[in-house]
Amino acid sequence: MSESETRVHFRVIRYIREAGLKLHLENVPVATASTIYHKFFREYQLKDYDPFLIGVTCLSLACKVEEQNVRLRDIINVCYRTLHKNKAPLEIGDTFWQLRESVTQCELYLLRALKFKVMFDHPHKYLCHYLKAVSDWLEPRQWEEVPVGRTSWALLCDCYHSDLVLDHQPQHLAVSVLYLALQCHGLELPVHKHAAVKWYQVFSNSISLEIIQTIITKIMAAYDVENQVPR
Amino acid sequence: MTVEGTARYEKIDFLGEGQFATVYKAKDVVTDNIVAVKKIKLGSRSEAADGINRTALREIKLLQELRHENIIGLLDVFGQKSNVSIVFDFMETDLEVVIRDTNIIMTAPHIKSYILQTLLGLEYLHVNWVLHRDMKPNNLLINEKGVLKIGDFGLARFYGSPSRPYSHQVVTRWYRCPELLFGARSYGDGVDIWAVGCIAAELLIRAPFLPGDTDLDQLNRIFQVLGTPTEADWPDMKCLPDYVTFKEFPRHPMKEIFTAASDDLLDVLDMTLAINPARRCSASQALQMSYFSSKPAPTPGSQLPFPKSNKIVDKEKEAKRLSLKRKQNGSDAGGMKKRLVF
Repeated sequence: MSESETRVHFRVIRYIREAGLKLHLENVPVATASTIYHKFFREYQLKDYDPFLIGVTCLSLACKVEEQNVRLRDIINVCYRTLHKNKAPLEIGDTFWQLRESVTQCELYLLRALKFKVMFDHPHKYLCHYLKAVSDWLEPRQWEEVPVGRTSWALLCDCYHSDLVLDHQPQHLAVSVLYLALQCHGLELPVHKHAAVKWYQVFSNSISLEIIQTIITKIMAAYDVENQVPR
Repeated sequence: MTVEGTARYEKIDFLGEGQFATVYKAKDVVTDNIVAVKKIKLGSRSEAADGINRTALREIKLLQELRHENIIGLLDVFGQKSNVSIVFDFMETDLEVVIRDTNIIMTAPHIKSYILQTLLGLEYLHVNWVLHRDMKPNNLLINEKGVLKIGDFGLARFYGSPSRPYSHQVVTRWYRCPELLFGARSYGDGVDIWAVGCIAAELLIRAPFLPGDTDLDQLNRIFQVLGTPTEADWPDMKCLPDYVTFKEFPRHPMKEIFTAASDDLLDVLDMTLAINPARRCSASQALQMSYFSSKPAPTPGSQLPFPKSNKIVDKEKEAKRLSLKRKQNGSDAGGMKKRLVF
């Protein structure tokens, strides 16, 4: 993927997340939308599609898949407003119906591109379990003072800006963001240095420090892209 | 080139038409197997306006993940133009037809086989955190080998997430449990288990056990037979959103209602039809009960009775076909090209 394409995808995912936030979506449907988006552009060429239409459709499809009851009308209105910040809100009229038609047609197209495989195992639930365990290992005061949970959760959501989420197991991603969050806060888990089995191996026996570092490098690269993209 | 999509399935017969789909019997030209093709309706503009139908998407999403002898198998999904078709195992009949067929004599081993197969399928679903939410004889499909498979996952969903409210407008009324009728938004596997209890009762009496006319009538019927629950029976009942107080009916012992049932089957009915969902058994617990290990053994699938003539169904089918034809003719007259291709 060229650098300019990476930047386009970063912007569209940021757009999906912004619209998702305005629609009060939970994190998992937004993660599903992002995953569908990345999967689609693994297979298809950016030059052949309008990435924003694909993005909006991913959002609408993800809401159905994850059982979030959001009306297509709301999705279209919010997405339109998010994309055209200087224009007036969308009126019911030809433009609205055309956009709606585009999204519904595109939805079927996406489903076929995905070969109807719409179940995704996201790292979020694993991270919740890991955080629970970590909170029990740490001193209560330490856990309260240092926002490891918030940081790792934010890192995880940010991961979806990059297609790295397609290439790693959800457990590995969850461990890696937790590892990075602990590092950011300069926190070390008790007896970590002396333990024969490292804490991350307790969570996933297939993980290694090498994998963690690979994932962290990719996450950092995604943050670098952010700096190249205008706000 | 591999044969794919519509080209792969040769239409043999029209099977039925539902709210969202038309079903055909077809031959898979690759495997030579007989299959059922469910073509999701996206026909008119207003229907297409919301994109892919949620019900269809649920079926596709869930059934792709599930594989079990007693769960309908999803064989293929394909799209053509603005249509989506789902290919399933072909099932000859369903439990409703078997129950209604007066030529069939239902023996205790037959009943055991049907309940056992239903519970095995349901246990698998619940272990995988899926609620079916529409268990009824009509959705328990049976193939020519006598294998029962749970079908129609249009209302099914994952459960277990404590924060999410679920709709209480699920399950066909006659098979709907008291907590749903009282408007519960958080519920669990008990909703499917209650329905299994109703189905087991229906197998015994060969008629719907609790055929309520309205939601309130449904509750009334439940309590008339099983007794109105007291505060002690079901402590939190009054907290449910749509709770209403009912006349106090006494409980009839199961033995009096189902005079022909064995004691161990009555135990199963008692546990599956417990009014308090917290006391209702799980599918796994039900399968551990002595009924399933005691004699007589369940009838092997190949020896289960098979409806010879589906007269009622045939009539319905014919009526549906005629109405479909009428509709087609109507639309043809309107100048629309709508052919029955899938």
